[in-house]
Amino acid sequence: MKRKKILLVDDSTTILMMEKFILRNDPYELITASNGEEAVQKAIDQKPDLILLDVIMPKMSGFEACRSIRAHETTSAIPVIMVTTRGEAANVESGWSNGCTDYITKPINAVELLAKVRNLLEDAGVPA
Amino acid sequence: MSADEKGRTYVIQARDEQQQYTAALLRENEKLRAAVATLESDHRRAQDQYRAAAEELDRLRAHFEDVARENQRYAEQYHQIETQSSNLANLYVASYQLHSSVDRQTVLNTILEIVINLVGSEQVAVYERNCAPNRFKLAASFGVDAKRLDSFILGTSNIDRMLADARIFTDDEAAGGQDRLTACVPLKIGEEVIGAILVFRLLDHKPSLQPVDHELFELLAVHASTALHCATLHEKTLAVLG
Repeated sequence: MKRKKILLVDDSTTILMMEKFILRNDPYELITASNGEEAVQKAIDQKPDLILLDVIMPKMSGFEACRSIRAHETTSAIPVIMVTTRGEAANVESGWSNGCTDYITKPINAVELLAKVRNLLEDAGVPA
Repeated sequence: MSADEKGRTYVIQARDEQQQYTAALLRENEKLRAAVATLESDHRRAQDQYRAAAEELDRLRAHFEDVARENQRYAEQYHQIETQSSNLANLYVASYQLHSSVDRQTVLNTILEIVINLVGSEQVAVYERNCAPNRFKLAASFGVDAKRLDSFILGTSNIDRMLADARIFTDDEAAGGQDRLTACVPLKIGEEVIGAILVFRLLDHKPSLQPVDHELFELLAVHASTALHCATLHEKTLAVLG
């Protein structure tokens, strides 16, 4: 069975490593990007099943990257989880208005992240 | 036929009919007795079955409760293991990242990243003990007024008490969004304090410091200091070698 592909996007190597560590036991293929531009390009080229997207990044923010991903024909349906340090309502609202599917706050809670990833990949019709 | 004969014939006929009727009634009575006996037997069997079923139901209920309790216990254990695994992931990642480079700036950035992303604070300052006695100089910071917090001298600040015994100070009542000193982590090489990490305001959505945060501070106290010390020595060595 084809492994599900998840694109992890963060300019912090600590967070990327943390996300990889949390998801390592599930049968996912993990690819990474360290800024918004790279994320959009990798999303188009590699068509992941899910994207974990940091908000504050150099070159292109997570919100802008999310809009670009939604605007592109081949990536518009990919579920996007925003990863943010700002859990307040206004920031979360910005995430929704920019097209994110769900969000989690930093520090990342492994149990919460795994639940959301598994849930979204099953919803997207990709069996776990 | 005379009236007498007619009467006798009638009586005989009536007696025969009565006997037949009586015999039929007796047969019917016998059948009913048999039916009653069967029903009584069925009833007893049904009662036995009911009792057995009730006992089985009680047994199954007790078993179900045992299984439910066991299930609950496993769910709690699973949750504990997942939390523990998550905490270990934090510690592993922090430790790995701290020792992944000997570049001083990278180590300082990693310390900030660990506090920002793993502890959950966007106001942090890292100090190093300067050549001047008891002078602590700001080496890296995030989200604080670097000019105002540029340096401090032991004996002149309220951080003395925290650094004097080289133990980690944490304000466990500090909640997210409150402007206060949440933690002071001395960076130690052996017993010598070579610097300190000050953590101020926690992220708004973080309710308070968690057990894993204390473990992260313990790890930073030892590993951040050795990583920073090594990186500084490496930088000095490179400078000497030209």
